[in-house]
Amino acid sequence: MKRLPIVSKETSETFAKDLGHDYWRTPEDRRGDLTFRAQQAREFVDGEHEPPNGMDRRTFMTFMGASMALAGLAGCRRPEEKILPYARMPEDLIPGRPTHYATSIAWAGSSIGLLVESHEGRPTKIEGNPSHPESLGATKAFHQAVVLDLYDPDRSTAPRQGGKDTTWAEADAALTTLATALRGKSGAGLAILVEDHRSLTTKRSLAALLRDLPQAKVFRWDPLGQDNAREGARLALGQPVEAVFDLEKADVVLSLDADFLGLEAGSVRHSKGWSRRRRVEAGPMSRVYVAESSPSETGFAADHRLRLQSRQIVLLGRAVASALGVDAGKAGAADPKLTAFAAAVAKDLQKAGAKGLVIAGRNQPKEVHALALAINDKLGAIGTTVRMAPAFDDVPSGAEALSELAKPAYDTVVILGGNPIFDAPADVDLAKSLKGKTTIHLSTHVNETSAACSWHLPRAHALESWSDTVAQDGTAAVVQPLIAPMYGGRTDAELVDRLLASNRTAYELVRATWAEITGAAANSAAFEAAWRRAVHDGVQPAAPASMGTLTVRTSEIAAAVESLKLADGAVEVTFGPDAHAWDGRFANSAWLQELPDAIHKLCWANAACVAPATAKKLGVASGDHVTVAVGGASVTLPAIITFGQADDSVRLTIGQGRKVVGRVGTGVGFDTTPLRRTGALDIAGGTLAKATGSSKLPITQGHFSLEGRPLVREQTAVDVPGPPGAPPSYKKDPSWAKHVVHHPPEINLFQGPEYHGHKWAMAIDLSLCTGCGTCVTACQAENNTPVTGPEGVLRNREMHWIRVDRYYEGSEEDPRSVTQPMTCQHCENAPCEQVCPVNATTHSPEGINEMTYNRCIGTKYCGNNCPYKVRRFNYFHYNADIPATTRMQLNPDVTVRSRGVMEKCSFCVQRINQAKIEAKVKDGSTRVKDGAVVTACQQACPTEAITFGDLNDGAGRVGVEVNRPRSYKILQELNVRPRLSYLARISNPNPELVKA
Amino acid sequence: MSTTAPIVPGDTPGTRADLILGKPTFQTLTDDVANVNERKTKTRWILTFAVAVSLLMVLGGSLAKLVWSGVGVWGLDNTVFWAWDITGFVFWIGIGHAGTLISAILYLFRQKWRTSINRAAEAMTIFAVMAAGIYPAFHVGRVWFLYWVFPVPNQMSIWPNFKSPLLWDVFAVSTYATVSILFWYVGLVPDLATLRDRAKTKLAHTAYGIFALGWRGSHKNWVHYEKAYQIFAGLSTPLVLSVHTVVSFDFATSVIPGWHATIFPPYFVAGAIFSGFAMVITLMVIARKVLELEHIITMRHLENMAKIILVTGSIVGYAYGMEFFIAWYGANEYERYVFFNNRAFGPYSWAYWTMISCNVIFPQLFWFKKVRTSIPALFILSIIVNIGMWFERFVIIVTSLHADYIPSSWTYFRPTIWDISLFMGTFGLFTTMFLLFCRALPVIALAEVKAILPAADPHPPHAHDDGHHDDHAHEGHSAKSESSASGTSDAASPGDVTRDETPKAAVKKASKKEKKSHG
Repeated sequence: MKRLPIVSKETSETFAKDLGHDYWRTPEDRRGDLTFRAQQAREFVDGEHEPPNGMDRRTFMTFMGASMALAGLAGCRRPEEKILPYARMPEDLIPGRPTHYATSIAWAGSSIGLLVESHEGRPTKIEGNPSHPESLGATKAFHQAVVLDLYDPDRSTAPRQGGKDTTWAEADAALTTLATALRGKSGAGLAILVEDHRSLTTKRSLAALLRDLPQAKVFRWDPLGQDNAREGARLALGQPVEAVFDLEKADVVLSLDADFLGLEAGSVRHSKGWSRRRRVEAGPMSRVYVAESSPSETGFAADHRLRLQSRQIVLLGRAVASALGVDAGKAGAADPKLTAFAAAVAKDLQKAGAKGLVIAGRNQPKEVHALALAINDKLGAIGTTVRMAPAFDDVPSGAEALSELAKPAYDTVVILGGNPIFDAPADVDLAKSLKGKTTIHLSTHVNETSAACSWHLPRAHALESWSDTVAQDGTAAVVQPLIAPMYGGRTDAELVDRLLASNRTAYELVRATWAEITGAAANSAAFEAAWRRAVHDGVQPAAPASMGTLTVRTSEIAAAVESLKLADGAVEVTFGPDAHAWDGRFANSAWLQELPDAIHKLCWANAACVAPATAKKLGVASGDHVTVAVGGASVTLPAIITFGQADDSVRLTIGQGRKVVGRVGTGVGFDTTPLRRTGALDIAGGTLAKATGSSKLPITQGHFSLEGRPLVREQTAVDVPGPPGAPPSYKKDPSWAKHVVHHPPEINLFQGPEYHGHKWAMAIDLSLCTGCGTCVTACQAENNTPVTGPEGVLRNREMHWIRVDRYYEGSEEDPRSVTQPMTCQHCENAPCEQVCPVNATTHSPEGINEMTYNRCIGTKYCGNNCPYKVRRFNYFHYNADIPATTRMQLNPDVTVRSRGVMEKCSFCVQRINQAKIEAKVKDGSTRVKDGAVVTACQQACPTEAITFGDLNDGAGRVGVEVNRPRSYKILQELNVRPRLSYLARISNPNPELVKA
Repeated sequence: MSTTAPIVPGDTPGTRADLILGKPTFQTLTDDVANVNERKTKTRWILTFAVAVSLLMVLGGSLAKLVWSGVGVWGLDNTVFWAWDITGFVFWIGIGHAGTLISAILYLFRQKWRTSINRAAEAMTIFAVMAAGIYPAFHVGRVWFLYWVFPVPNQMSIWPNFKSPLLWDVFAVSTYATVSILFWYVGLVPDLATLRDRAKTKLAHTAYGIFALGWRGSHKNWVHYEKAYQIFAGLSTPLVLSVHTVVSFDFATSVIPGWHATIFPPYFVAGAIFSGFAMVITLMVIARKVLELEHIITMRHLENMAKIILVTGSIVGYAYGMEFFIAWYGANEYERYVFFNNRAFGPYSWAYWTMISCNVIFPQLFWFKKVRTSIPALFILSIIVNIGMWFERFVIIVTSLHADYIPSSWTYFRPTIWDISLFMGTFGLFTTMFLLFCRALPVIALAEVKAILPAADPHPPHAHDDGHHDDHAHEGHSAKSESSASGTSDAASPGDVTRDETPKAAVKKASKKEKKSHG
């Protein structure tokens, strides 16, 4: 039954207000006589033919009518939907055909350009913008989840004053008063706290504010900010510049604790560049060395990984620098393993010269960043693998800025986004210092900071606002709304404008900014053309900025490095972004909470990563609680044994354990922010002890050994000394992977179908998969895959159609690790199809193993008989409780599955059909051109590891991949004839280090 | 049979205990059996029935919860899609097999001892199939579309998939249920007529009368009856082999290591008979005592069944060994992993060794006559065998599924309360039905037992020529046709002998005799 919207008293009043008139019906009504209003809602006043309580006549009639209707409708299952045609058809809108709009969002010290798919005015899916340098068409899982965040039912819907809902009218009145007061004292006492917003318009509005109110101050706090890199550049070059890395040009890369493919700034761009140098057929492969304390996707994707405490990374940096002739101060004695590693890396870097690259991690101190810059400079890499771009802005930032803001001198604090009360360092007691002040928090959600501020104002979501962003390299991009603000939010720039007693719209503000960028007079024809192009493309390339001559101040760096004090304490504690919640902003995102993290496959939780040896010393197993103490504060949370973690090093993620959060994030994880302190935000010395209790960790993979099974096949590019029985190198035997398994000829009882039309197939290059999990969330967004919650994951019932398996090899302490994306293999001789008693899963003439949900009765036999275990069963009606707003995200081209049916990867059949229709309409062709069908996982993959297409298309890309010598199919010996090929993983180790 | 074979005292044909003790006459036999139905309902029956119905309500509640919330109330996951559900299905279907074997195959082989137990065993079959049927019906995600598995013409023009073993199951099990019920009912007709004729109330007279189908005991009736009975025996005989063979195809035709094995059909059939006989023993040990039928269901019957358990248990043991051998000899790494790393020495070794002990080791005690003829031992061992057979199905289903080809998907199955409650509930259904059966229908196939009484065969027994007995089978039948159920002729049959001892005394005497001959 369709539930008709009921106009409640509240909404009707809101409507009345929105109309600008408040109509009254009787004198009592006009006076606001409440008793009368209450009576109005009822048919009769007391005592008039109506029993005073119990079921009244109307209710009774309603129920009777409803039961009569139900009795008549018993045989009818389908809900009745009413379709309202457009009274006036919007231009360019064809119902059922999605449109795409370019936009962008700020992300991790840079920005990323996006293309958003919109169905009849509802944004449903996010893709990368191929023209944007930070995206190049791909995204990460976080970006995929932005659209879910838009529809989050827990978003703030109204301004709040002192914790009580109020209206924008009230808020605006208060803002006007505040603006007048501020103008009176030229902004004295006003502090504005911004995030790493990267918005030119916001920056411009803030500049205007500082011009008008010179006494006001702007500060920045971002719990995962790029301050170390910025300060490192200031140390090395005397000015804060942005170093932009080009992995595509790099032959040899050394990462100093930088997860540059995973959770660092620019990771999508890095992944794209890295992947272009990792296809063995595409020319010489790059070689990647990673030194890190806690395993990251970059570390396990690297050719060599050195397990090293984060606080000791600087020692490696110094050793490499010294070996390359960069002054790095007097170095003490170091671990022989480190020395050998440093020597080999230095030699390789030396050989690479300008094509070498050293990247320092976000959590490394500024000295390490400066040292990395010095090495890159020495190698001559600046200009090839490293490009310099002007810094976005230079406002006081970091924990020190927060301490300044906390001073009593600032009696009015305006916080634009973020959640500093939650994530500020513990020693800056922000909550206490903000008490009694006028505090305004602009935020899409009511969070800890909103609750602590005197005013909370709803912020327009990135997908419903006009704004702009600037990428690290200076590329500007427009942020355009995909939908009108659902709850009437404002943008940062609009609020700043209000503080100047002006009320320009975000659109006006952004256009004013872009008039400056494009250099055309506002509202001129030239501007309109440039503006339209920018909005359409989503990108405005940066004008080549003159950086002047940059001189690396080696002696200052050497002195700073030498005097750098390593964090002391029995164990080191490192802090990083949470794989699910990022810095806490996605804590209420069900997709991200259920996305297994790249290393442990942990969902719906955070845990303290400890090395197996450390765990053994403490006597804890995964899930047992440990207490991590730093400088007097301590946090108790479950430990997780992490293979490859440095000994006596604990990695914590921030962002989980939020207190004021929506229905999804409540009760998930543990808050680690009390351990962060000024000066030791990222790496701290502390202690680790066993605590009582344990938690069940929701992990999607319970077994990390391949058991010697030839599922992942791996070779080295060239000959290196290896253990006996190691596979030959790719150079020696490129088709080794094809012949690993010997099996009798594949004979079939039935004659298989012939594929005359399309023959869809997929190839996944294991050399390129880093296991980031973007494909998983992209698939979830595209295919309306339900979320099962921590209970579901604990019962191993997660519904993802594609998963990324991780396997370890070698010792537990210092293993190597490989990943393997696993999805339906669309077997030509599919075991699932044979066993379904009702023909619910069948083969299409184009070779797709199709699920007919309507026909499925749920025997689950297909799932049992699937050797790849990729089928997912709807054990409950997971889609029954989706909130109304979240339903707007659902892809209308894909069935929303009900309880009791099986589902699995469909090769994005809706996209295939769309492409076929388009080909037919456009040029009357019955064949789809190569590249016209892109699956959701393929599109999102930042390393282009997935290829999809038609095997019958001679020149098709997938055919090229499938026919490569190193392509193979797994479990082919079962005669299931999978349509999914894997390309053997080729690594490029340094023979010198292999020997060692 | 070679006459030179050494004669074991006490177990040679001539010295075996009588099949029916106490030398009852047709009249006393009828009295004894009908008494079960005609006597006043005993308190302990009511109490037992109350417990059974409570369990039946647990079944109802579990099914309601299951259908209301979804299959997710069970402990299944996306690796182990079947666990207690299909385990329960195979368990109950297997139990049914003994009844069919007793009533059909032993009938065709003219095994006279079957007559005392076949009625109850067949009833057990039907109730077990009912319990079994619940699982495949309700384990599906959308039970309201279950009818799609039947080849019913429909507006969608979609047939079921005839390649699917589950569909074969549908046909095999429904055929089995239909034939079993008809076979059982045909056998019941003469006895229902007896009860009709003895009925003291109008209601009983009418009810039995309707189901007796107007049986008059005429010669023509008997001719038709014998023909029908023989045809059903013939139809049921292949079913004993085919049903569990088809059930085993669910697993054998799959690609999952641990399931994909050609040994499954015979191994499953042997296992089914094994568990079925164990269940018959469990039931009969109680029933003969409670219903005071120890002189009809005698130690000799129980001992015979114990021997069958010993044989089938050994076949099952051989199958386990052969599976292991093939896993090793076949050199398939996946299969080896299942048998060695999962079952014998892996996370499920507790289940595996429970199965081995219960099914292979404990039944070996039946080599000893003392064990075979001890009521407590029979009772305990029969229950152990059924525990073992439940575990066998659990081991086959869950240990094969939980860790198959791709290690990343390996899980460990843990049941929920709803898995357990539904299984307990099926026992409620089974017990309720069996208790009602004991109360309302003749638990002994009267007409058939009468045919093997000495009274039905006026010749004195030949000490050393048991085969001679069979020559008189026809006489036995004709005696039956004249004497039994058709009304009041019980006392007027030829060769009538009077009872010279009470049933209880006869049982005691027989057990003494057994002991003496054994010692």
